[in-house]
Amino acid sequence: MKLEPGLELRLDDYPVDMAWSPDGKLLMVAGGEGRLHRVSIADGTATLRGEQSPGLLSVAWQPGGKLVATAGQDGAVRLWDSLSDDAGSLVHRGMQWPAGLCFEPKGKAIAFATGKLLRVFGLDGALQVEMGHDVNLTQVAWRTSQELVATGNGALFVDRIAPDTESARHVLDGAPLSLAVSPDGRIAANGLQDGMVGFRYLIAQKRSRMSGYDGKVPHIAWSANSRYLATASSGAKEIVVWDFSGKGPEGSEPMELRAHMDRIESLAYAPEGAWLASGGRDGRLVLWKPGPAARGAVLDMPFDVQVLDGEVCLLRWSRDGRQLAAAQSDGRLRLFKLKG
Amino acid sequence: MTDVKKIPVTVLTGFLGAGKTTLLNRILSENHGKRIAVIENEFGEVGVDHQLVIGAEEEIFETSNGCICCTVRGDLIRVLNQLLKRRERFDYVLIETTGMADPGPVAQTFFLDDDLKAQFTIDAIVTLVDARHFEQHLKDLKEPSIQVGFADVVLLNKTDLVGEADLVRVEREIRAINGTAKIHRARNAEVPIEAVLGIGAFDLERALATDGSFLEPQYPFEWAGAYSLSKGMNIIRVAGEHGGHAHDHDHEHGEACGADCDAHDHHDHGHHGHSHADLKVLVLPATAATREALAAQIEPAVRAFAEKAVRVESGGHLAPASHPYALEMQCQGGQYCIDVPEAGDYVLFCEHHPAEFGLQLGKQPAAERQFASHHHDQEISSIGISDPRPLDARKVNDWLSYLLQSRGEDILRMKGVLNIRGEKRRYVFHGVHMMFDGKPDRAWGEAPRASHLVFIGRKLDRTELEAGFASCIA
Repeated sequence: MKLEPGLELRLDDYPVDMAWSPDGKLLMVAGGEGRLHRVSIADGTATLRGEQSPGLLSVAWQPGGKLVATAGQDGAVRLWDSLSDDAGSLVHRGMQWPAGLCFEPKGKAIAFATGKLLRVFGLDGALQVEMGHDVNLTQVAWRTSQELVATGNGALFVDRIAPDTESARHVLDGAPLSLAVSPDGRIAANGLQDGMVGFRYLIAQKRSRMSGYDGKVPHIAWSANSRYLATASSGAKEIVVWDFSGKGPEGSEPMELRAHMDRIESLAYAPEGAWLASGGRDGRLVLWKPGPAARGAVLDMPFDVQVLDGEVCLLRWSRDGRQLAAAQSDGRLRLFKLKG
Repeated sequence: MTDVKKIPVTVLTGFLGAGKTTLLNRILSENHGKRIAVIENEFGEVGVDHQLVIGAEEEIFETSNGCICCTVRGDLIRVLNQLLKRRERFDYVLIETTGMADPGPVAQTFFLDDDLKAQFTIDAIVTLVDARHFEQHLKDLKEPSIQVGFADVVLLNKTDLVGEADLVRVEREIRAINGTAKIHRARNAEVPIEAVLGIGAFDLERALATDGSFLEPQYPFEWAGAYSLSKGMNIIRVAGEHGGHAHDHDHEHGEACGADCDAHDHHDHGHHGHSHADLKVLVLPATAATREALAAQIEPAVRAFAEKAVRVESGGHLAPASHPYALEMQCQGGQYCIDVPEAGDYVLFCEHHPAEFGLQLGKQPAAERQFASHHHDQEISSIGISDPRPLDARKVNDWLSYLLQSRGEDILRMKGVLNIRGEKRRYVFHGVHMMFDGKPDRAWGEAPRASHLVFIGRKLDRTELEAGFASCIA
């Protein structure tokens, strides 16, 4: 398997987030200066879809639909029709940056947090649920259509959105920088400021943490089959992969993947298949397929390495796991197809 | 990646109502050519339409090493890392903290988060002080003294609302807590922008060079004036405690000080901080009424101040002597008589600045001098050490490590320039609680070699610090 280079575009902004359309034909790119670009893969064109000054923070595409949600540094959350050119609709606006913007798994609502509040809005812009917690919420993810996981310093909340249900508050061993819920909904993983990764087993109701990182852990990604969690700490050149098969990773040594010459800036596991992509400050885009390996193994033979000139800061796989978008810090966007 | 110039960060602290928002609005609206990203912890008050004003809820957490003082600000880590993705959009960061905030975690964030440490540098911690309410806040709360203790710059604001005597006293309180901060007076937060931005206060050489007076020896008196006095009675008039200014700044005192003032024993006020019930003064003969002659009497005055003071009530007499007199201060002022045996030149030494009491000797002094603040009742204080003797690098390292381990929680700030034996260059360091950063700086060259250290913190023990320092001498 190889990554086959395709489209290359230069956007007039620094990409901070990207989202693929469900059919893999369009890509929305959110820029640090607030420009939202719609890239058509077939035409190889990028059009300015809208703007949210002074900068965008994140973008999400509605599962199975055509809506796109953005959160910006203006404290606003907007919904955009990806196909039209209207001004989009304002869902929320406040002083604080919205965090953890995400669509409900069937695309029927959006959730995000501002400060200590977790909110769910319908696609008509109506507030459906509002939940207040005792810490600032910094990450949000849907576990099921009815259940949200939100994390903040020292706490992980499981919020059921049905009326008259209680939230569960769990202890988190630190301040989270990233949250990823395993696709099977069993485990919430957090990359922590203190050089650790925390796991909350949502069904088994237990928690554990893995230390040994040199710095904070901003990058975490689950494999589609929920078996592997790929992680990278800030400044690290190697990827640390935990294997959750059997008794799980507790008490074991993780796999290490080494191919970068400088710090890793992005990690992305394909939503289908077993492919993991990593991008680094060294300009390398590396394709991996972590599989069963001796625990503690160090692997330095990736499937493919593409050397780009300039930092690879952001990676996003298309829904089918066949296309990979790679953004560079100078605003260039490269598209790759999985071939072979 | 090549090394990029670090982005300076100013931390703006100050109690509610001290004028932070006014200052912030002034900074943002002034045409200074800087593109400033502002992180606000108190929302919705900045009235200027500014692109990069970000609201963030203050969020403090401890780091994993279990040390209670190693706390950082999670909100800053997130927001600043996000801003870094487009760093050419701004060239300065201003963090406005809430009124009750402890600046420690803010400063520590820039030591403890590697990504921020690589990209940002703290330019200064600027603390706004409300001249009218500071003393009351100091009595009631712990935050104001911590905020002043951390400060590189103290902006004494709203000076138009209090009298000169009160200002002098408030400045003395500030100075007692923090011996190195630059103090600027201001009305309505009007100060030159250079006084708060881009001052490089964490640049140690500059910080220490600007306030050498702090490193002077400390005296038991704050002021001395040389006078030519005639033989016989020379009257000292005192306008009263607080310089005769209205008592509205000091509720406890103001209430107690009613019609039965004379019967009221002011010494009871000692428990609520700085009692001014007595003012120690000393009169020594001098060879002339000049600055030089005054200087010659400093040593004898220090010795004399160590003697027991003789109390003098209003209307009482004092004379040139080798011991001080304690003038009992009355609410509505008083008069004291210096009996001068021979017409000639004398130096009057005062425990506190005369302006604080409206003290006058009927004429202006021919020469006068102020001395470094010497005593205070605040828990937080500053201690400076200056010494020309070369130090042993390993011993200094051991001592500072030990100090950080054992006293890190109590030390708010420390900074210094060290004269290390065998080193051509100055060694400079600074620390916030247990966080410590040091590096060799420029060469000594022709400059006289000497170490200068400053500690600001809780319950600092000068003897202990001096002994520790002495153990490092090579």
